[in-house]
Amino acid sequence: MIWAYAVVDSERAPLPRVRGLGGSALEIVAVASAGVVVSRFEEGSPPEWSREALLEHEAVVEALMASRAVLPLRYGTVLRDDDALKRAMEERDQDWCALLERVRGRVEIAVTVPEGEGETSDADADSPRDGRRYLLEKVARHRAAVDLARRLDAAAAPLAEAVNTRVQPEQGVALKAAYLVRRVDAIEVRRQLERAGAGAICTGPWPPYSFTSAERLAAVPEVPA
Amino acid sequence: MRAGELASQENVALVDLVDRLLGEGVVIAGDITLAVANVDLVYVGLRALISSVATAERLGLGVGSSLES
Repeated sequence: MIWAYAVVDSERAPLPRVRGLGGSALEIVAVASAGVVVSRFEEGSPPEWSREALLEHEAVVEALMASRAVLPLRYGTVLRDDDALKRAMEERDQDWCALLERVRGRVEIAVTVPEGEGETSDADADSPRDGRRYLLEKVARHRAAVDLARRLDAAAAPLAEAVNTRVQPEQGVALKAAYLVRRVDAIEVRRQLERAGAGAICTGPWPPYSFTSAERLAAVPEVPA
Repeated sequence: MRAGELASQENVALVDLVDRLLGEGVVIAGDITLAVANVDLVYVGLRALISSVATAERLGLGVGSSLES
């Protein structure tokens, strides 16, 4: 059984010294003009879902990213054998090389802005919350989140090459966004984003998890007029 | 930075990690994804776990920070 971590360029740079899940050895399988980094497990002993396994998986992807272009695979990608892996990769019919070139030397910066920060509200906590007021506040929160997304895009636009924004993705969160930037610009983009969005929490640089398709890579942050 | 702010940043980093590993990345077709039916449960469980566990740094794995040095 094969556990797959990431699609990488097939050039023969040595694999990093990091170990895979559960201390397993890493291998690279050549497939569809690219490579896939994997480790092998006995049949019937799938790596478990655990926080440690997630961190081990992430450590592999980050180590790979230090020396080559990387398209991370979804966590939990398991295949029976090399043939199954090759088939699955070919069936996707992606230009893996073109995608790898697009993300080479790039990282992802993530931004989370909790709701109720970075926006103005005249809501009084003690006032009665009737239905109309609730709806008005809901509309105002949504509008504030959209405005915030624009401000963050404008701040990142000079350096960011692609963006993936989700407005109000879950309770208590105004927005989450990811920006694809050159590795050398990562710290500067974080600084700009934190300045533009009050209460914005940035993490990263991450491997380009949110930019593994041509569609995602085509979404460019809006430059203000 | 206050300790509370630091803790919240670490939690956000772990949430961001789980969101990326389980919600983003290349999905290849085939006999993939271990226990697909359970992904949502795992996802919710891990996110709940995040607020109650020690930091990633304690495991010697600097989540999302290995390139900052």
